[in-house]
Amino acid sequence: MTALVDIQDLSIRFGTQTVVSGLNLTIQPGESVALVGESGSGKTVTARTLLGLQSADATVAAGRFTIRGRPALANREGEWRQVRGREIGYVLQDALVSLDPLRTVGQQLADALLASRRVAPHDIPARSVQLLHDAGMADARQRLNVYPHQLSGGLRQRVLIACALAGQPALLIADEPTTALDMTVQKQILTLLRRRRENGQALLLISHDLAVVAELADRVLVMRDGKVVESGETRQVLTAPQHAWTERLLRAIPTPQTRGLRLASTHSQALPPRPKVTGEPLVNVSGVHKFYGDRHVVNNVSFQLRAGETLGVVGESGCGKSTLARLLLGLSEPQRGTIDIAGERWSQRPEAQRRSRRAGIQLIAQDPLSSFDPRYTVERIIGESLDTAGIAGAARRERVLHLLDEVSLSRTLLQRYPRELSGGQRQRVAIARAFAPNPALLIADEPVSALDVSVQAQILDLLADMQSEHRTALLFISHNLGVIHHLADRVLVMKEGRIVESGEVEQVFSRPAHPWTQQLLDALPAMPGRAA
Amino acid sequence: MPTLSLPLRPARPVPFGLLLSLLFLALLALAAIFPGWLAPADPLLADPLNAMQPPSWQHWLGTDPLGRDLLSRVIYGSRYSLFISVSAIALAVSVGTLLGLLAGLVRGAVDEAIGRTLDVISAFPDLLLALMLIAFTGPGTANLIIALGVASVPRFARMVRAQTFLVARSGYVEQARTFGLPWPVLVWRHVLPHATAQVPALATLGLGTAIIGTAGLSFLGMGPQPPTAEWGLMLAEGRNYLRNAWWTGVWPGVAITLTVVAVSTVGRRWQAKFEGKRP
Repeated sequence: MTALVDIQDLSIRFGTQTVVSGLNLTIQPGESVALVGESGSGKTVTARTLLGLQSADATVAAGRFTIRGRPALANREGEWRQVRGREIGYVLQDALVSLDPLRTVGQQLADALLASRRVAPHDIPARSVQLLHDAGMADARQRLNVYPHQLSGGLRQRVLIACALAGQPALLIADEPTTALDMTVQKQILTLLRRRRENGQALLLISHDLAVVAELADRVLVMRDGKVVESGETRQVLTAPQHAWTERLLRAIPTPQTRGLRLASTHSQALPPRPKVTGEPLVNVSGVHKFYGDRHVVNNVSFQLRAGETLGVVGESGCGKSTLARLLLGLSEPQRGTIDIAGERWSQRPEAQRRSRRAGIQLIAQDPLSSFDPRYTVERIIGESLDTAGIAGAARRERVLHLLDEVSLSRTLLQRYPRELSGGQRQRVAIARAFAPNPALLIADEPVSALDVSVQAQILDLLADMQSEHRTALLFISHNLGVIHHLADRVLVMKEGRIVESGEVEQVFSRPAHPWTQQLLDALPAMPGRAA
Repeated sequence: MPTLSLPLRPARPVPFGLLLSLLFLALLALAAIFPGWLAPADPLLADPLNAMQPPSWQHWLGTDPLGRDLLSRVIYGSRYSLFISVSAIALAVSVGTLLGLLAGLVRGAVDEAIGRTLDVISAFPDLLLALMLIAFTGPGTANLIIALGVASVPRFARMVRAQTFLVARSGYVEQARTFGLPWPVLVWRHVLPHATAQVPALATLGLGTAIIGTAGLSFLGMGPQPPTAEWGLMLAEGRNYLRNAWWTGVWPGVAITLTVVAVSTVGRRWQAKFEGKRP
């Protein structure tokens, strides 16, 4: 049997910079292989090279480079077109932007089907419906006339997969197919891919998250800085990693077992002890309702939060988590119910009375870049939250430098602009800014969902350190149950604006009372060798 | 994401046209501020014996029917043309920015009211509107400035409003609110700079239109009155002699054309920078 893809000693260079070197990759028919590594480790470039889609200034060299037994390295554009879609289907990384916003789902599927030249034109509508149906879309016929913006992220990802499969390729490449998707949607997409694997079709999965690939791949290649540091059977790699880097990636995955332990470390290392939760509740939310027009976004939500405590809020996108954060931040007003902070009424107060108390409630946003004024340097960004505290001049600079040290950022970044920083550095700046006025309450709205697992690990460790040092009450919003389980004391599970379940993390996650919680827990990827 | 090493883009030379335009505008600014340094004669000094002289070594651009030196009049004229159009644009920018900011921040009925008023203003062609305003207020430099300024308000107000709207909803403004900063500080620090980022480019382009407007209205006698040396007015005075003394009307026309072309070249270039493409 000829291998679908057989590549030996692949190297990819941009100018003088080598981004991939010495990479060996073979994919047999029906095999499911995963490329795992952080951003910038060369996963995506490698995958694109398989389709001849590398950018024009890339130099690709390989000892052997065959697709279905035919040498492909010297392919012309026309020959690559034979490969794309027909031999290898490619699902691009970002489902939200990879569909043409001006063309309907049906038109885009028809494009893919026509290009494959495997379907007679009059069969296209029937075949399109079939493809969507196979991709797990209900009422596929109606969906043909729909535009991408009318679909949710999960459905768009299905359309992309359907397009990639239009030419009946022997190999499907899925590049981060579940990043930016909710847990339950992620589960559905993974199930879809798994069904394909069970039908004996080959899959190349690209991800930064070992947990995602765990249940889907036969073999794993762990990449770092353009090199494969470890490869082997999935179970083998996940349970008995040979390379320190694989070990670190595994350790970085937040799970119930990692509670109280550092995620970003080479060996088991304990986090500082959780601050003692005592005294009166700092935050008291009682019977809060919020409507946007007819939509009941937050429905009768009540909870309390004490100093030093971490409260996790879990739910899918659109369940009202972020609206709840805005209510607590005093950026919007509840129509019914009250919010008290530090024993004083916070909601339904005129802005003038609230202003002086705002410094005590800080936010870490999901996308730190958009929360920074692009004209501001790191120093001004962090310093600005000290304005209301009246800290200025040399004292402010002192405090900013101290905060930079606390979040382990180099002082040389002081005069940098946010767009010059990496994702992890930006989130560190956001954390430093949030802690600058010594807030009593910190609201973190999906602070790590845009980050790689390994960067996420560092940020979660940092948050834990900062929180225990400052004794801040933390409201941590996330769609990722693993993260919540790792870090929170108590948890609220939200669905459609309501709290469906709440309680101690251990209790809620080990004995979920509500079926929705159970469903969320089932969506957690199962890691072999570890209980989920 | 793979890290790509992009080849360093070689520093592109400043295009010749842009360089020429900038040089011309610099010369014009000099002429407007210190006309006495450049002009060979008094622009108002009549010399009937030398009336309607063609260009010569003594009078480079010739003389007009009253024997005044045309070169000096063109040089002194830059002062009026530039002063009036720059003032008109300055007026339009300040009023437009204020209205746009107000509409974008307050929204609701205020936005509606400002928006509809701007619609009415822009329903009339710029020059016609300016003519109408002058018909009410009477001719004169100050009235000309106001008339031209009002006509240009909508384009600035609309752009600032749209930008304000975007910026006010951005993450960093929301974040700054959580620091407890008062609204005026917030607007001054985070909204205004972003909302007005494109105003200078738009103002430069608008300046070209304003110069033509100034010349046009002066030509019709709505601006400075004789014997002032102003390009539009000179054009009007020269038009009757075009058949036998072409230079009386041509030189102010050339001055207007060159100025507008230079200003537009610079403005377009500037705007292209915001749109992220090269012209």
